[in-house]
Amino acid sequence: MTRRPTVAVRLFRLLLRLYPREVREAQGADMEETFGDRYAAVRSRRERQGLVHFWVRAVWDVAANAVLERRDRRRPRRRRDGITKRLRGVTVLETFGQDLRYALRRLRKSPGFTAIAVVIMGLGIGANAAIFSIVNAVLFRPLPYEKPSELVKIFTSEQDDATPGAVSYPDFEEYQVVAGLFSGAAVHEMTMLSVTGDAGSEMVFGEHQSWNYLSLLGLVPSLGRTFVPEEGERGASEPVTIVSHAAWRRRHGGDPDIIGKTVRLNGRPVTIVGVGPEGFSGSAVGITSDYWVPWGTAGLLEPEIAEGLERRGRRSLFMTARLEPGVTRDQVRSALNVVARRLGEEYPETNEGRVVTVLPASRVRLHPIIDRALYPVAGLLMAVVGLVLAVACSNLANLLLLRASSRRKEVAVRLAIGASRRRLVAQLLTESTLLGVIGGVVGLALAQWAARMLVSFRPPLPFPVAVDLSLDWRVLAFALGLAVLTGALFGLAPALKASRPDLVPALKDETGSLGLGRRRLSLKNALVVVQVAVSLVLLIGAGLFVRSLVNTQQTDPGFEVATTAYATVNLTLSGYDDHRGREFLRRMVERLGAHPGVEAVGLADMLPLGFGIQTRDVTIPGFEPPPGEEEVSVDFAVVDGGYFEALRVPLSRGRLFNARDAEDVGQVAIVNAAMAKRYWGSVDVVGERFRLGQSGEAPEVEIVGVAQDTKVRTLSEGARPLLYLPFSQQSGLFASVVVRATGDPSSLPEVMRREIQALDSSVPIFEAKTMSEQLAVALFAPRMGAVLLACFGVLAMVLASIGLYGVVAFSAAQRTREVGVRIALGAQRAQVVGMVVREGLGLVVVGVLVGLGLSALVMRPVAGLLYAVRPGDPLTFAAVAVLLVIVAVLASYVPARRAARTDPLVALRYE
Amino acid sequence: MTSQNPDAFLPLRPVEFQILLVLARGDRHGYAIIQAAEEQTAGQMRLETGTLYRALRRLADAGLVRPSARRPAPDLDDERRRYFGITPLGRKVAAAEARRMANLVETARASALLTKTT
Repeated sequence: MTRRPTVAVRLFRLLLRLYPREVREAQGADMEETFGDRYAAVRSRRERQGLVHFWVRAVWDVAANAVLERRDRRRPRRRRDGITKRLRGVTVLETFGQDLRYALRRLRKSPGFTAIAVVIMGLGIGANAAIFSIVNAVLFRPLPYEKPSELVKIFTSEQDDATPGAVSYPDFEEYQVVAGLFSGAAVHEMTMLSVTGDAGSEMVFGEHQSWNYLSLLGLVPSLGRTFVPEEGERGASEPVTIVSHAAWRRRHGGDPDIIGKTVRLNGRPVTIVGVGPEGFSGSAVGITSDYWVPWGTAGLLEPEIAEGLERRGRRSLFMTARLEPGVTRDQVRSALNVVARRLGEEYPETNEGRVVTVLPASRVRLHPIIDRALYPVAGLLMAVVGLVLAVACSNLANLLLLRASSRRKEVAVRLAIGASRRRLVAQLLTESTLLGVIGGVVGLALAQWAARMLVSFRPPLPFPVAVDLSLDWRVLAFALGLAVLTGALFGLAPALKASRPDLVPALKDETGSLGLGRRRLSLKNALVVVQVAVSLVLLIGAGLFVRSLVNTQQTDPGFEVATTAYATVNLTLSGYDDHRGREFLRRMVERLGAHPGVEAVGLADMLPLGFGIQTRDVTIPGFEPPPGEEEVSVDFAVVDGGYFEALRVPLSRGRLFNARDAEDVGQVAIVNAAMAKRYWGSVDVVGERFRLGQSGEAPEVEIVGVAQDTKVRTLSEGARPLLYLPFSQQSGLFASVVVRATGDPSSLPEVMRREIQALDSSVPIFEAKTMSEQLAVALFAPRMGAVLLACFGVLAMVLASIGLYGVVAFSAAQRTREVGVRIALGAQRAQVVGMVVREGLGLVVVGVLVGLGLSALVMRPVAGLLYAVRPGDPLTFAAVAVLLVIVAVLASYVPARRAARTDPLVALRYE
Repeated sequence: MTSQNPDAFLPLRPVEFQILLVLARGDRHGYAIIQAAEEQTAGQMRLETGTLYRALRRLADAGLVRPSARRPAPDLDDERRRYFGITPLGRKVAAAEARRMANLVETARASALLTKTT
C-alpha cells in the first residue's frame, strides 16, 4: 500500500539525491517516511514562521549529512572531539546563522525585489543547468557498471592514423589471453534485428555480446539469467536472448513470466532467458538496444556473422576488459602492442601496422571518434548559456546596486554605531548568495522541465533515443555551485560599494538628484552596457543561424520531395538469397505500381540526404587525382530505371537503366553532371569508360547516361559527384522503394507497409515515410541550432531589458524632485518622457556598438556552420541592432511615463 | 565485529547515546525516536532526519542497533515503517556510557563544580 507522496516529501526526495546512492537505496524510503511525519506535525501547528525554519533546518541537515556520508566513504572517519569543533567552526557558523536569518527577513520584506531577482537568476541558472544536464547525460554520467575504474576499452588503429577503431574476433581472442592483464574480457557490437510481433515485423537495435559481457560489467539480470559459455560459442544450437529492461516493459508489457517464452528475431524463434538490469539500455549512451544475443546465437540468426567471426580483417567489435588489480592502462597497452606486432607479422594483409589504444571505459560514450566531435559541440552550447548567465548575473548585480543605494541610510547608521565593514559585507554577501541559491533551486526546476522539452524535440530517427535526464549529484552540484558562486561573486561589488557610503549625506537623508547622466562611467551603467552587448551577440548568432536555416530550407534538393514517399526493407534478415530477393523486389515494385494514386515506383539501396554515406574508389582514364589524394572516391547509389522517374531526376544525356542491362556483358553506369564535369570536363560523357576500383583488373564500366545534379549528403553542400549503378547488376537485399503519388503522399507509407506485409509478413520494414519527413531529418541539426540559439538570444534580451527597465526606473525615481521642479516650471510631459528615455537609450547605443564589434569577432569561427550567409551578414546585424533599440526604448518608456506623471506638489513636498 | 568490549565504543556521541536511551525502552521507528528524544531531553535535543539516520547507520554498523522485525500491533501499525531495536551489546554500551557519565558527574561534584540539587 503506498500513499501518494506529498509535494514536501517529493522535494525532500530530491534533496536526498545528494546522498551516495547506496545510502539512498538503503535508507531513503525510511527517511522520506520520517520526514513526512515530521512535516505533517509541523504543518498541523499552522505557523508559517515555523515552516520556513523547519525547511531551512531540513535542507541544512540533509546537505551536511550527505557531505559527511560521502566523505566517510572516501576516507575513514576521524573522530573529532567537541572542543576543536567549538574552537573552529561553531562561532563562524553561529554568525552565519545570524546573517542568514537577517537576509531571509530582509528578502521577505521586499517581495517584489526578491521575486524579480529569483526569476532572473532562475532563468540564468536554469538555462545552464538544462544544457548541462543534457551534456552530463551524454558525456559525463557514469555508466552503471561495477567498479568502473577497472574497466577499459581496447581499440586498434593504423599506425599513422590517430582514430581508434574496433577489433576483430580473432584478434580479440589473442588479446584476451595475454596473461596477467585482465580478470575478464568481452566483445560486443551493435546490430539491427527484425522483431516479428502481432503487428508485423520491425527493425530494432540489438547487440551481439560475449556470454560474459554483462557479468564483466558487473550487471545482474533483473529476471532470469545471464548467458552461459556454450551460448557464446560458434556452433551453439539453441538461439537465446536477453531482452533489455526497457524493451521488456515496452514490448512485452513487463510480463513477469517471460523467461522461457520465445520472440521471433530475424524470423527465428529465440528463447528469452533473461531480462536486463534496470537502467542499462545498451552499451552506447543514448541508443536503446532491445535484444542482446550471444555470439553463438548471432551466427544462427545471421549466418554472415558466423563467417565474419573467423575473419581477422572484420573489425567491428568493441572490446571491454576488466583489469587485474594493480595493472595500469600503460602496461596493458605495451603488452597488447607486443601481440599486435606479432599479429602484424603473421597476418600482414590484415594486421600490418595496427596498434592498440587503451581507453578508460567511462570515457567511451558512443565511439571515440563521435565522442571527440561531441566535446566541442557541448563546449559551444555551454558557452552560449554561459553568456545568458553573464547577462543574468550582471542584472542581479545591478539590482543589488540599486537596492544598496536605497539602503544607504541603514548602512550608514550601522557603520556609524560601530559595525565593522567586514561584517556588513558578509551580511550583504549572505543576502546575494541566498538569492543565488533560491534562484538556483528555481533554475533546477526550470532546467528539469526544459531539458525534457529539448529531448522531446527528438530527432526524427528510426530508432528510439533515450537519454537519462534524471537529476544526479553532478547536475545538482553544478547548479547549486553556480548559484552560490554567482550570488557571491556578483554580490561582491555591490556589497563593497554599499558598505562605503558617504556617511554625512547619507545620514542627512539626502537622496541626491544625481541621475545616470551625470556619471557616465558608473558601475550600474557599465553593467547595462554589458548586458546589451552580450544579448546582441547572442541575438546576432541566432539571426545568422535562422537565416542559414531558411536558406537551407529553400534549397532545391534536385529531386521531387512534395509528392514522394519511400520504404526500406532488409531482406537478408528474413533469409532471402539474391535470386529470391530480386524476385521479391520485382513483385513489390509491380504491386505498388498498380496501386491507384501511384505514378512511378523505383528502387535504390540508398536515398539522398539519408543517414549513410557510401563511396567507391574509381579509376578514370586520363584523370590525375590532385596531389595529396591517392585515389578518386565518389558517392554512389544502386538504383533502377524507375528511380529517376519516381524522384523526377531528369537525364540530360543518354538513357536510363533498363531490363537489358541485367544480361549485358558489360557493366553500365549513369553519372551525375557534377561527376561528368569534374572528371571528364564536360557533360558529354555517354560512351566513356572507367574502372570500379583501383587496380587495372577492376571491372570496366560504360557510362550510358548523365543525370542532373541532386543534393547527396547535405542540403548545404555544393554540387557533389554521384555515381548511379544499376540494381540489376549489383546484389541488393537492403533496398528502399521510392514511390511518387499523383497528389498528397501522406497515405503512401501506410500503403507500402501493407503491401510489403502482404507479400511476406516476415520481411522487416526498416522505415516507411514521406520524403518530406525524411528531409526533416536532414534539417534537424540546423533547425535545432537555430531554435536553441533563438531561445537563448531572446532570453538574454528579455533579461537585458528587465535590467534596463530597472536602472531607468530607479534613476527616474531618484530624480523625482528634479522632475517635479521641471514640471512645476512648465516642462511638457513629452519632454520629461524624452529626457528619461534618452538616458536609457544612450546606454543601449553604447551597448549595441560594443556588441556589434564583439559579434564581428565572435561570429567568424562559426562561418563553417552557416549556409549561404556570411558571418558578417549586414542585414542580420542591422535588424538585430534595430530590434534591440526598439525593445530598449519600450523598456525605458514605461518608467519614463511614470516619471512624467509625477505630481509636482507631491514631489516637492519634501523639499 | 572486532570487539565485544563495551568500553571500546566510548565515549558515545550525544546523539548516539540518546538514541540508545530511547531504544532501551522498546523498539521504535524513525519519527518515534525523534519524538521520544525530544521528550526525554525536555526539548533540548531536536534531531533532524538526516542526522538521525546517519547515527542509526553508524550504530547499526557497530552492532549496537538492529532493524527490528517486531511490530506493536498490526492494526496500529504502518507496514512501510522500519523499526529499530537495541542489541544486547547496545544495552551494555549504553550502560557503560551512563556509568562513565555518572563517574564524571561524581568527579565534577567532588571538584565543587556541581552542587547536589534537592
